[in-house]
Amino acid sequence: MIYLQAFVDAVALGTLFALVAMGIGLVFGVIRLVNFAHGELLTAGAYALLFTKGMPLPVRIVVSLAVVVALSALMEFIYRPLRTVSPATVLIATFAVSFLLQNAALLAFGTQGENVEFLTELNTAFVVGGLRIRWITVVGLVVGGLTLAATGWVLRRTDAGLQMRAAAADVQMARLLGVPVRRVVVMAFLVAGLLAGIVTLVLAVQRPLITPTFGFQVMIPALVGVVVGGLDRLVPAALGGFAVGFATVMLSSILPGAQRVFLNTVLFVLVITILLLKPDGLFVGRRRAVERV
Amino acid sequence: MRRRLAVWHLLGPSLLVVAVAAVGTTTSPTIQFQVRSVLVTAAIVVSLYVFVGNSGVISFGHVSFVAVGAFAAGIASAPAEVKPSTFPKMLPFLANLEIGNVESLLLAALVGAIYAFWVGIPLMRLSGLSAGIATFAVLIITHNVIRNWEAIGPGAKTLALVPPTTGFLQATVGLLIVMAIAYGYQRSRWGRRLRATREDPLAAQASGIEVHRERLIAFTLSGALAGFAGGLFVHLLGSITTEQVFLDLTFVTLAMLVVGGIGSMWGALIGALFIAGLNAFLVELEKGVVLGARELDLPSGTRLLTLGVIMFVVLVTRPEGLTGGRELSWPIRRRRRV
Amino acid sequence: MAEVLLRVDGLSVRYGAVSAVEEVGFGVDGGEVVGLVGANGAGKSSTLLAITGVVRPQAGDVRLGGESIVGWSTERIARAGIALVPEGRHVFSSFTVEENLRLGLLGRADPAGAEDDLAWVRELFPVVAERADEFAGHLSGGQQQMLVIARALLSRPRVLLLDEPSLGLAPSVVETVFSALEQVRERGVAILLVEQRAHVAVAFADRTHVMRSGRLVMTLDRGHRIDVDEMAEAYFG
Ligand SMILES: Nc1ncnc2c1ncn2[C@@H]1O[C@H](COP(=O)(O)OP(=O)(O)O)[C@@H](O)[C@H]1O
Ligand SMILES: [Mg+2]
Repeated sequence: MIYLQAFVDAVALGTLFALVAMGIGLVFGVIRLVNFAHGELLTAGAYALLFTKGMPLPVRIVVSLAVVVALSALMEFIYRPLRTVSPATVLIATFAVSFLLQNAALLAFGTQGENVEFLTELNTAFVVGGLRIRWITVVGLVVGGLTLAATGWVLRRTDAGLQMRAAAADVQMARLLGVPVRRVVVMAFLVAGLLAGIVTLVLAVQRPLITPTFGFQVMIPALVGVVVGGLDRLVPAALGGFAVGFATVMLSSILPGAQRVFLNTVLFVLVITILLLKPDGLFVGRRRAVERV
Repeated sequence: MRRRLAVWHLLGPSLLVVAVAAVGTTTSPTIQFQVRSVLVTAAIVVSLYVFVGNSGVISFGHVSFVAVGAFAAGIASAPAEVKPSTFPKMLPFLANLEIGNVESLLLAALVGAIYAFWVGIPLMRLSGLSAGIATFAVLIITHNVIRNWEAIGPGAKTLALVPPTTGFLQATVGLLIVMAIAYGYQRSRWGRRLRATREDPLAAQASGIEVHRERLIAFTLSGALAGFAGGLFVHLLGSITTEQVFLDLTFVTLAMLVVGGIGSMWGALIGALFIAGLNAFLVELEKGVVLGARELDLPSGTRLLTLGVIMFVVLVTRPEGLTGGRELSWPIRRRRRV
Repeated sequence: MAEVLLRVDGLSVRYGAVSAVEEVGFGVDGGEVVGLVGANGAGKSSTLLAITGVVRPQAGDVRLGGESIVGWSTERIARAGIALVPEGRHVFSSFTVEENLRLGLLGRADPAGAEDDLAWVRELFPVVAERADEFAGHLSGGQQQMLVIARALLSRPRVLLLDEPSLGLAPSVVETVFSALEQVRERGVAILLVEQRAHVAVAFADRTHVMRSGRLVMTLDRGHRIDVDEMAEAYFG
């Protein structure tokens, strides 16, 4: 029963991580840039919710989403000069932006954090078959699942999605076919921003205390998931994010009480093991990995 | 000329270090502490350079070796009378240990080397982002274990009463030792082989260089130096928590290396001095300084914010870092650019 | 006098210290096939990459319908009507055959006539219709080459550049490809055909330029009887 309970929570957290991972993977796919500052999109959205405390719900949601998407577009702009720079430098540069934004938040809002009071009624639980389930778990699952499905649909079925995938797979050939790569890059950041915005809404209900590291704490495991799952493909990246979220919750319920503090150790030993056994990604088939080379 | 230049590559930076230290001794006590910490931080960055600079593989995990070095040296040299009562769960062997200053620094280097060697055996197979994430995982694990396994670490408490032996002399000599070893390695057969793999891994492999082995050598040496620097660090601070050798330090030291220029020891040093100097200056500003009649008091957080901005600007305008990843050039007759 | 569709003048390409193309000039008009042959490393691919804006020429001019396109982005040049079938088979291997074709259609300046063109390429290369839902990466080499050409045609180019399309293909596939190209020519498209094997180009092109060390050294007419010594001289100097 405990495990079943944990299972529900694990799936819910996994879904959120999958969304964050997908945003990171989308941007990486198109311009080979790991955006460490992706987490600060969530943080910005959370602070937007905080500032609109007391306003009507739709206003809060729209403002928060708009702030996140706008910040994501701004990041695209800021990262433009990095196009000619070595991958190691890019990695550090986005790391710098993440740090910069975190400290800006620290400076503006302090460390102690504040309660966002967003949709608190969703934190109440209902009992079904002995399981205590919070409404936000259900909402998170539904919203997350729908968003994943919608993103998948956009990428597979729409022209813009096709072009985005083409640019991600082989940017030179995409250009030769007339794909407007610059526009596609902007689009990738906008979609990534929208995904981050949606995650923020769910997360702000689950973790209402908003601090400068609100997003960073989610970005790190999601990024780990992206790399473990398979960096340059969207579905594996999302599955990787899901796996990390899922494993976090399951492990913390499986580990005996005194050992629970070592959750991170167990989790990251697993991560290293997977990286060693499947360096191309856990969810990338062998044949595809070979093709890429 | 070549030989003279080669000597200069070590001598020039060493002179700069000595000059910084010498000027530092003439300042006020708080500034003195900042200068000493700049020197120790530079030692950490040079140790990071030994692996990252020569191999071209980014490591987010180097502060792990600084951490094990710092806690090994700190716990081994903190007074045996207080440890058993402050840390009741600590292994009796550790709690009752009390060694001298030089021994504790050597112990820090040894522990750093051993840890890096064992971690490196599996991890050195990875490159690129996988290597980045795997080394980051090592950092998280190291932090998690030191913080929560109270038999060997301080737990969430502060490890205090570590003899504050890292004065100007030790900080300077320590940094010079780290630089000399880094430089010696870089000029050695192993160093050159590893640099060849950085330039062109496939060609290097084709000419018989074993990438894994060469990386492991650098990683172990780098771990030893990082552990040693961690020892200097704990003896500088006198008291330390696990949070002080975790994410912030990782960010700051990587930033220093990249801003200075990943590819050269000169770059590592310049980046460290530049950012640490700036950092120290901002720390003082955050504490509040009297400028003329007015007191300037920056809110906390300004420091890292400013660092972030400066770092990003340097990266965008000079992606190869302030030094362009080159060693210090001979000051008198500059060699022509090709 | 109306200008030819594609005009290249004094084109030079350098990669750092290496000079790959030096002052190359030629023209291709609509409905015409021009061959470009030469040994490996002669600079043929570099010429095509400079035309399509993938590499920036060091000097010279490229005109499409009288308008200079030097300095345009690759995607803009593609939309203006120049399609390149690059060396090696650049299918999107994790995309289906159908999706590869859709990408071609998205490159059209004018969406009108897309259905007709789709029907036409399916007729030229039936395999792209038969295996529409499979991953392009699962096709054989010859099938991938046909897919890449079909995809290029769907963008309705005015100029089609082909880089060694027959390389490594079975003779029957080569035949299919060239009979398709014949139909493309009849539609008034200008074709620039790069080949390493001179006889393939000379048999098909209206005229064929021979390239050596980055320069055009000789021009052969259609059906020119190839003399081994003469060719060796032209290729290797
Ligand atoms: N990306 C590049 N960087 C440096 N040199 C190149 C590059 N591409 C081609 N070259 C050089 O330019 C010359 C012409 O190459 P290329 O245009 O590919 O010739 P071809 O297609 O006729 O075989 C060769 O000497 C080749 O080595
Ligand atoms: Mg070629």
